[in-house]
Formats: sequence, structure tokens, C-alpha cells
Amino acid sequence: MSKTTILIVEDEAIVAADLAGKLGQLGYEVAGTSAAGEEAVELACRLLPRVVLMDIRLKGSMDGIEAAEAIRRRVNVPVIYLTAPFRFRHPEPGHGQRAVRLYPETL
Amino acid sequence: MVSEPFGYILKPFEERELATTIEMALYKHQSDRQLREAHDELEQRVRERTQELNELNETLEGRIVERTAELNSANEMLRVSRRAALNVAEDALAVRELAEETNIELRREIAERKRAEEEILQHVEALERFNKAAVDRELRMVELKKEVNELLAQTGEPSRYPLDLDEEAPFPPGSEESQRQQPKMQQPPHLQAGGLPPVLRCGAAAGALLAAHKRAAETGERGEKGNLRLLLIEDSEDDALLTIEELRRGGYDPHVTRVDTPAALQAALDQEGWDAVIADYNMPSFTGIDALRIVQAKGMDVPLILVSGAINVEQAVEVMRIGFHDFIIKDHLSRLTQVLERELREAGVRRELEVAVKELSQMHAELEQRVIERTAEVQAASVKLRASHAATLNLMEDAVIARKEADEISDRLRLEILERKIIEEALRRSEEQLQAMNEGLEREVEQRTRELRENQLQLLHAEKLSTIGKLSASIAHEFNNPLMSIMTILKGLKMRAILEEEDRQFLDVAITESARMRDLLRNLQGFNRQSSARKEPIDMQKAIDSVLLLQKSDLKTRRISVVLNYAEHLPQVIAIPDQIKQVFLNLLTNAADACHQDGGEITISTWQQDQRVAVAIKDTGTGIEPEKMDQLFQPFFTTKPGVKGTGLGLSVSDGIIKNHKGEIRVESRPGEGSTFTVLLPVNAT
Repeated sequence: MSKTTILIVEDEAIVAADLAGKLGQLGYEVAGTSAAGEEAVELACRLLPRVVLMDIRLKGSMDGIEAAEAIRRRVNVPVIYLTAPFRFRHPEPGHGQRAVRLYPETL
Repeated sequence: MVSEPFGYILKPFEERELATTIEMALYKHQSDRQLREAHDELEQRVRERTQELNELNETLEGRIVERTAELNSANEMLRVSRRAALNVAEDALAVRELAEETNIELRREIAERKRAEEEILQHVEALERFNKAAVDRELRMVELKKEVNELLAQTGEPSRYPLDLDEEAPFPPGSEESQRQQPKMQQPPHLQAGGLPPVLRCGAAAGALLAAHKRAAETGERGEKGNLRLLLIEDSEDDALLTIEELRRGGYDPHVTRVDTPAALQAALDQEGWDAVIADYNMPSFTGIDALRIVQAKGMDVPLILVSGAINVEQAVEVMRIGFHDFIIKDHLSRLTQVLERELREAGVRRELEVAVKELSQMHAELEQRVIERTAEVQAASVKLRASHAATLNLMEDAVIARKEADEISDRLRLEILERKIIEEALRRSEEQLQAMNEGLEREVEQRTRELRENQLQLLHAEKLSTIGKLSASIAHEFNNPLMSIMTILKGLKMRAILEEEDRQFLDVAITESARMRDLLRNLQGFNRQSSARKEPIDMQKAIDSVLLLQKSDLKTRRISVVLNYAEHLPQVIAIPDQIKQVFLNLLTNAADACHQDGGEITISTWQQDQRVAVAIKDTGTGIEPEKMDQLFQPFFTTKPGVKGTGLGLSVSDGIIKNHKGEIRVESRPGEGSTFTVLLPVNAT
């Protein structure tokens, strides 16, 4: 079976490169990298990766949650959010609920 | 509505977390899809079955409606044919009655006709007899006169009887009285009232006809003795006048046509309607005999009277024989009226008879015709009867066939209904199967969901532990450098400084304690370091020691003593070190939590059991109630008060040990304590 392909959506180039390196070591194949939500949606539709890793804060007009929603409406690809821990300590309205549900005991 | 993400990865990224989260997301995604597909398939099948069922129902209903209509029309046909058969039978009855009536009528008419014919024949016979008698009498009289004349001739006396047969006339000729009365007296009896009685008794039609003729005879021939169309064959004008005069005197009003040649006679005879013919015996162009022949050739039935100047007896007999009705000597012309009267009468009777016979024969023909017609009618009626009888039979046959068809149709219907029932039964069964399948699938979905949730929770817990490990590793790292500095300084101080014995001992204690702190930090680092999911050979007792090291102070605070009962040579086990450590951490925490009053004792024993390594952790705590034993390994099940327990410890531990192909056994007595035994295979790969 071929390698699991992954699309990385991350606005910080260094973080994205680090992530790509780690994924490569773990045996995954990075299908593409994008820093903006619109481009990410386009890439997801075109490359059809098995998984999308999505940063919540992005360049461009879309944030990660909007981009994930747009992808979900177009193609059936699971989306995993990338986020810094502190975001959950000060959850923004609309995001916090899911965070609390996934992390019942915050750090 | 924003959809649920498939997971979160916290920055900064850590390899194991990355891999786990991605694999979890993939697994979750796949199982979601499978579930959706299974659900869709199920729905599709339910839809298909429902549609099949509906179609089947519709078909069956359609067929039932059809069959019912067929049955109705067959019944209707049956009713109609029955009614038609009844009508035909009634018709046949009516025709038969009519035929019988006609037969009776015909028989009656035939009988009547026969009777009438018989009567007429009798009458004709009687008339013939009468005629014959009259002729015989006349002939006899002529013969007698002839004999008398012969006798007189023999005696030499002149002939006493000239050949005049009318010498016995009661009145002398020329007498007024005789001219008036004679004809009245000579009226034939049958022309008077009540005449022709036998004929009048015949059939009504014949009777009526005869009565009409009687009236005609009275008015035409006798009434006032008026008109008389007379054909006079006479060469002498004077004789003709004499004859006319004589007739006038007799009361007639003669319309006379005189002819004296055969051609003129022929022409006159062509005009019909003559009442009488009077012929002269001797004429220059032809004789009275010739004239008679001509009249006879015409076939006319009129009185023929010969008038002669002088005639002997032979001649007289001869003329009577050839057809003249009478003859008159010119000298006795006064007899003419009387003779003519009689002959007219007889001719009238003859005509009447002829007419009657003609009428009768016509009637006979009519009757024959009617008999033929009636016979034809009866035959036609009987043919119709036979036809209607046949039609009735046909209709009855049709009715029988229709009934048979109706029976067949109802048989088919019964069969259909049976078939339908069977199909419905089969459908119900398949529906039940579908239902069962659906339930099975739902159960499976539930099961999968539960498993998924468990896995997620295990993962969360592992993540938490991992975070704790990381935190402690970083603390250890940060503490290690200063500690190294402290130890170096302490060791240098001990070597260089000249110290009091007491101070040197303090310094040794400080160095020993620093070394202990260094070991502790190293252990902490080690606990965290082995975070890869790689299996490696581990010493169970060392793993337990490293966990105990972290918990030692906590246990001391709670006045819980730990007794180690290690086996001497315990084989290593192939396992993921930090997972195994996590299990022991969980079990030790549980054991400590169970001893919540006045300390307690935890005994850790290790031994080898067949190809497995066993680690038993025994406490003197509260124990577990038997009814809760079943739920022990379920996620979120906890007996710990408040927020102290998550209910995940044993569930996660059980999952880990099962992944290593091992097992956890529990023994417990409420109030006395519990023993958790972990068994792991030695050569687990």
C-alpha cells in the first residue's frame, strides 16, 4: 500500500517545514503545503490527500476552521487542527466548546 | 454549523502525537465512511424491499379487480342467456298454440266445405233428374203425337195434330186474358219466395252468391217483363215484325237485332248480352240449323228457339236433338211468349247453376289455397318451434359453459389468493430478516462507537501522561545542571578543605543526597525518554522500581508501606516500556487510594508462571463489592469520591495489557483488600 498522503496548511514556514520533516520521518508523504485558506481548499480538491493538517490561524481572509468547512463541503477528507496549547486556555467563542469536549481536563 | 474536526495536534509537534492523531483521524474517517455506507446500503435495501412489496401488492390488487370483473361479466352472461332461453321457450309455446288453433279452424272449414259440396252435388243431381224427366216427357209426347198422326193417316183422316206441341194451351192464342195471366202462372216454382231451398242451405258464401243471382234473375229477366235483347235470325221483315209484335203482346219490350246472313250473325254474336235467339228455319243464305251451329260454336248459353213455316215431326225431333230448345210453327206464333218465358227461366236456372258451380269451385280452390297456406304456416311454425327449441338447447349449453367458466375463474381466484398469501408470508419473513439485520447492524454500530470512544479516551489519558512526562523531563533537565554544579562544588570542597570530622560527615550526607537527587532526575528523564511505541525487552522489576521512585514520597506522606517480594531470576518481557510503567502507576495509585484510613500496606510480588511473568499488587484497602466487579474495566467507572478519579485507569490499563497479549486478574474481599495480578507472556512479540 502506498504512503498516506497529507496536506499541510500552516502560515509559518519554519513550523510547516519542521512538521513536513517529522511527517517524512514517520513514514507519511506530504502531498503539499499551503499558507492560505483559499489555496488550501483548492489543493485539497486537486490533490485529494488522505488527511489535511490545518492551522487555525492562517494568512488570507479565511481562518483554518472556515477552510476546513469549505474542504468538507467539497471533498471527503478528514481535517486535523494544528494549534498552540494556549488557545485552549483562552478559548475564542465558537472554538472553545469543541476544545473542551476533546480535552475535558485542560493542562 | 461548523463540523467536528477529526482531531487536534498541539504545537510544538511531537512525532508520536502526530502519528497517533493522524492514524486516529484516518481510522475514524474510515469507520465513519463504512458506517455511512452500511447505513446507506441498509436504507437502500429497505427501500427496494418496500418498493417490491408495494409493486407486488399493486399487481395482486389489479389481478383481483380484473378477476372480479370477469366473474361479474360471466354472471351477467349467465343471467342474460337464462332470460333469453325463457323468452324463446315462451315464443315456442305461443307458436304451438297458434298452430293448434289454426289446425282446428282448418279442420272446421274443411268439414264445412265438404258438407256444402255434398249439398250442391245433391241439388245438381236433383236438377239433372228434373231436366231429364222433362226432356223424356217432351220426347214421349212427340212420339205419341206422331203415332196418332200415323194412325189417322192409315184411316184416311187428315192429320189431327199438326206438329204443334202446344195445342193444349189453356187459353186460345190472342186472348188478352191469356197474354196477361199465362206468364204469371208459368212462373217457375223456384223463382218464387223460398225457391232453391237446397242450394240456400249450402256454405254461407255460396248462399250469398246464389241469392244475388236470384235477384238478378228477377230484375233482369222477369221484372216487368221489360227489356229483352233479342237476336232475330230472319230473312223476312214481315215475319220479324210479327214476332216482335207477338212478344210485345206477351208483355216484353224487345230490343231486336235482325240478321239474315252468317257473317252478320257472327258480328252480332260478338256483342254479348243476348237474352234469347230466335231463328227462322228456311232462309235464302242459310238454314236455322246452320245458325244453331254458329251460336253453339260461340259457346253461348241462351234460349234458342226455331220458328218455321211448316215442319214435320222428324224435322222437329232433329232440331230438338241438335240443340234447339224448342220450335214454333209460324201459324202458332202465339205460343212464342210462353215458350220464350219457359226457356228464359230454364236458361236462368242453368246460368245460376253454372255460376254456383263456378263459385263453389272457386271457393274450393280458395279453401285449397288456404289449406296450403295454413299448412305452410303450420310447417313454418313447427320449423320455428324446432329452431327455437334448438336455440334453447344452445343457450342452455352456453349457460352451462358460462357456469363452468365462472367455476374455473373462481378456482383460479382461489389459487391467486393462496399464492398471494404465500408471497405475503415470504415478504413478512424477509421483512423480519431485514429487521433483524438492521438491528444487528445497529448493534454493530453501537459497538464500534463504544470502542472508538474507549480508544479515544485511552489516547487522551496517554497524552496526559505523556505531557506529564514531558513536563517532568524538562524540569529534570533544568534541575540537573545546577545539581551537577552543586555536586562538583561539594566534592571539591571535601577534597580541598580541612574540616572538622563532624563537618566532613555533613558534607558526605550532602554529597549522598545530591547523588540521590541526580538518580531521581535521571529516572524521571528515563520515564519520559522511552516514549516511542517501539517494543523492547524490559525488566519488570526495574520498571516497578522506577514507578515506585516517583511515588515514594506520596506513599510516605500517607503512611503506606511498600513490601517488595521479587523473584530472583525473572525473565525479561518484550513490551513498550512507558505503557507498562503506566499500568503499574495506575495499579499503585489505585492501591494507595484504596487505603484511605491510617495508612496501609502494599505488597508487590513477582514470579514466573509457565511462559508468563506475573506481577501482583496487593493492598489492605477497602476492597471491591462483588456486584461492581463486572464494571471494573469499563471506561468512566469509578468508586473514587469527587473528582479524584476519572474512571479511566483500569480501562486504559486493561487495553494496554491486552495489546501485549496479556491479562489482568482481580481478587477482592470487601473490607480486606484487593489483589490485581498482571500476566504478560515472556516471548510476546
